[in-house]
Amino acid sequence: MWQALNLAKVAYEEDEVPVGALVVLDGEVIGKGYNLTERLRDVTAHAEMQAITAASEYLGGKYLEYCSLYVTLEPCTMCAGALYWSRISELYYGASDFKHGFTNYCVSLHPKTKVYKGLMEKECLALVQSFFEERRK
Amino acid sequence: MRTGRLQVQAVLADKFIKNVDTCNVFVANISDKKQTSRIMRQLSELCPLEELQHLKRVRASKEKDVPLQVVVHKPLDPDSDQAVLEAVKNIEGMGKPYLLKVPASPPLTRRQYNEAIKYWPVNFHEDKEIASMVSGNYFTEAEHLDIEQYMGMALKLANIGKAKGQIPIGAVIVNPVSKKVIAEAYDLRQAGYPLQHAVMVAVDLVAHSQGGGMWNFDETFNGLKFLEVNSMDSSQSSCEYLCTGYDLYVTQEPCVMCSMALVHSRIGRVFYGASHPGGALGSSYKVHCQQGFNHHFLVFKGCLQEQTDRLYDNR
Repeated sequence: MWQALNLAKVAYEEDEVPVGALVVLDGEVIGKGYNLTERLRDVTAHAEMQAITAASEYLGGKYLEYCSLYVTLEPCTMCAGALYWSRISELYYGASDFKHGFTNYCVSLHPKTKVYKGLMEKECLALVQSFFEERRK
Repeated sequence: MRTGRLQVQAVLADKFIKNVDTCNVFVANISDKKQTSRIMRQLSELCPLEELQHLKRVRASKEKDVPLQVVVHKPLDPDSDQAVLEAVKNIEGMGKPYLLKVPASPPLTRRQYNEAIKYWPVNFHEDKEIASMVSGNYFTEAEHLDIEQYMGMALKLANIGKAKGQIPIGAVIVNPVSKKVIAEAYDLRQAGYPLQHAVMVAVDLVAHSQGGGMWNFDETFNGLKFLEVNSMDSSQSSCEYLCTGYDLYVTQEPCVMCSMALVHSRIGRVFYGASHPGGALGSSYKVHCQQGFNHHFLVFKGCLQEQTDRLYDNR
């Protein structure tokens, strides 16, 4: 989760909404990403989408069974859909997103996916909050 | 309604489709018609209609010796009900209130209106746009031809994908004002990219057309196209979202991920052919009109459905 947070900080530096994500298999990072919606001019370029894409490229296959995704912010509905398709085993997220997070809508992940939330929640939330506070100035 | 091979059908929010729901309210009889306006005045002071604005306050009674019935109060909790009933007790010329079933919310379509007035007279302001979607007369003949043409392109792309061992889903993104095709895509998930559904590829190609994009596509997947930036029409300004004002044509109903990507990219309208049990634009969810999302869009299904359904015969 520290690594995911560090990725989020890179996004922050690049004036992107600070979210970072990584995919881990057997203790090894096989895919990572941070939010790049501004630079790539692509509103779908969320951290999770890039991490999943990189991981499946690494594995050379469609599914991320036995893998875990760590992300600093609760995934949105699109990324939850992406996680469903990737059949990921575990999802760990830091801060909850009470507006856009997938748990606010009746969207389900793959039945095999276990969800753990609130990891380093304070740090993850503080980063996003300070980003938006700075923007509003 | 148009018949034949093109039968485009709007996928409306549940509120337009649902049956009329009812609630109990206190009503009372008025035996002398001449007293009505005074009673109404007193009632509107003591207990305004509030969330029952859609109800007409008075109706002609069906019973012989009682000319009129009036809505008094919507029950809240025993204590406040008691207080209201106590307060209206002294209104002259009005009988003792009793409970009656009335429509709980305003009707949004003519069908709901006709159903609602069986319970109690209601106000109805017909939304012309919704009405034409319900009746199937929303599009002009020329628009039907355009829809058919673009869905035909999506079908061709689905078959290109199929020939390359992919799931046969094709997607086309069009600027309906300039009639320029912005992106042509097909599904790539069987190529080892779990997220590269046809719609996601199409949206990413739009980002490519604007000098961005998340994915680099393998050259073996020819047929994927996007309009180059220099030929972009000026109607799309850079401050707008990815797909603002654009239409998507896709052979099969998009999934949750793809539908949400369309919300994020602010698509204008979506046309699809075949429905899918897990689909998120009508079948399992209605992402395009989900409350709480920051963008909503119109969805039409059944475009060239005979042909699109044939792509998924073996499912």
